[in-house]
Amino acid sequence: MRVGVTHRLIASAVLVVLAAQTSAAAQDTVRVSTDTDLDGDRVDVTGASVAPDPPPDPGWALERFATRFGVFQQDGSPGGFQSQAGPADRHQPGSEQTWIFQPILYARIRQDARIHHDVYIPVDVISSASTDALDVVSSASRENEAVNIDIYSTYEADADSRYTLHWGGHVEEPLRSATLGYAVSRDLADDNAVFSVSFDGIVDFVDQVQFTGYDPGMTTRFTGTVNASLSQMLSPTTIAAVSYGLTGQAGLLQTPWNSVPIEGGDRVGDLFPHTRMRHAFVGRIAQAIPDTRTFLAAQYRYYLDDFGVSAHTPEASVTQYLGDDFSLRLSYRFHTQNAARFWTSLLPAGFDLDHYRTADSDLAALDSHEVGGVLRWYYDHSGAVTARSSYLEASYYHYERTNGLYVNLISLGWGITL
Amino acid sequence: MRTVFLSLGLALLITLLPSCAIVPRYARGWVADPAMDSSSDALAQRSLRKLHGTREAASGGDGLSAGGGCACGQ
Repeated sequence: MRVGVTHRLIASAVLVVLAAQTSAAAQDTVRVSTDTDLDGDRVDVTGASVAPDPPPDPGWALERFATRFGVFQQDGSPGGFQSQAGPADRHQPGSEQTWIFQPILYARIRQDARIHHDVYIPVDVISSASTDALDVVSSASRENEAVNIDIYSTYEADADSRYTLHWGGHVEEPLRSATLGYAVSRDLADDNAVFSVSFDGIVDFVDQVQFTGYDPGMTTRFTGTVNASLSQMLSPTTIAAVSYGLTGQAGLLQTPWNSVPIEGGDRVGDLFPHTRMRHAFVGRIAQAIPDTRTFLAAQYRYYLDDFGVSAHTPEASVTQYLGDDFSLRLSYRFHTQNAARFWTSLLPAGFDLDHYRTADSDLAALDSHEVGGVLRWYYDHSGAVTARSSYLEASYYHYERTNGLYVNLISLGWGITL
Repeated sequence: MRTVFLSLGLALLITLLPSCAIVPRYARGWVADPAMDSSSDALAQRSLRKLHGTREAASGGDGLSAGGGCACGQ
């Protein structure tokens, strides 16, 4: 009898212990897998963040597609001293008139749960601005095409870290170009801040066709860039960002078919230093005004290089939602720069052939103003508009320089998430 | 050079001073709007970048190379 009771007590105790262990394990499982904090992040029993389960592998898929078609119409007076298109007096600036038709394709292709590729393919069809020297000597030339491909292959190592390989190439009549780069991006402070650093290298193979039509053959130019940026949420409606870019260049840096007028009526080709170091600092802040669904953004950029060019570029924009589906963005940009120290519009007779020189209007002292507007229709969103919402848009920009050049840009765009 | 460091320091100050205040995920609806993120308009940005990069002598600082590729000399 006593033995039987003892056996029953032992058996009961074992069952209780097993049940208790099973219950505790079940509770731990629930805590680990489903508990969330107030932010919606998953946490374990101690309150520490738990990495999310990896999403199921979707395999190769086209996630997003966008395209844009832009038309640039450029003209102005008096034009540029580097151009020989137009003036009978070879001391006078020539025409910079051109039309550019620019379709751009973009696709985000997902390879698996952790890897995706962002592919950009811009094409430029340029009329009346070809670099064919014989055309330039006689008049503005007829047509030139350029195609570029830029691919950013990103590996998402974890919820906070991304590694991106940047690779691509560029082909046009006087130029072949290859790009290779690498970037690391890290989310900080519960994704309130993002720090990124990138390195890019570009090798250009340039045809040295001269303004006279003489072509001494191909040469190279190397460009290396380091960029670092930090963006930070300052409040639920405010984001700020700063970035710095250092670019070093070596090789043939001048545009080989540009030329400079000389006293007496002749011309000579541009001559630049063989190296160039460029620095650019950018600060940006964006502010949402929820009551009116208005978004303000302001940016300032400071630039300087060892050609003696320094520049200030402030810009600002306001985006206003019109009803649930439309947004209108208006922007203004101002740019001011001083001339490269070897810029001139006329060389004296008997100048030193070894002295650096250019008459390129892009390297002159100038101010520029740009105003623009973009009307966008988000046509299939449910709930709040996000960066993944599909849209159609139309835009117009007017860009004007104080040294006689203006550009009108009209474009249509479409983006869709698949 | 003094202006450079002044600008950079001011920008850093604006960014970092209030950064100790963490914005929780549930309160980030407004900052997720595409109007707050310049990269959400990447195609237009590329097009405008080329417009500026080929008509001015001062590009860079935007995560991409200043020079190289087409538009040599600028």
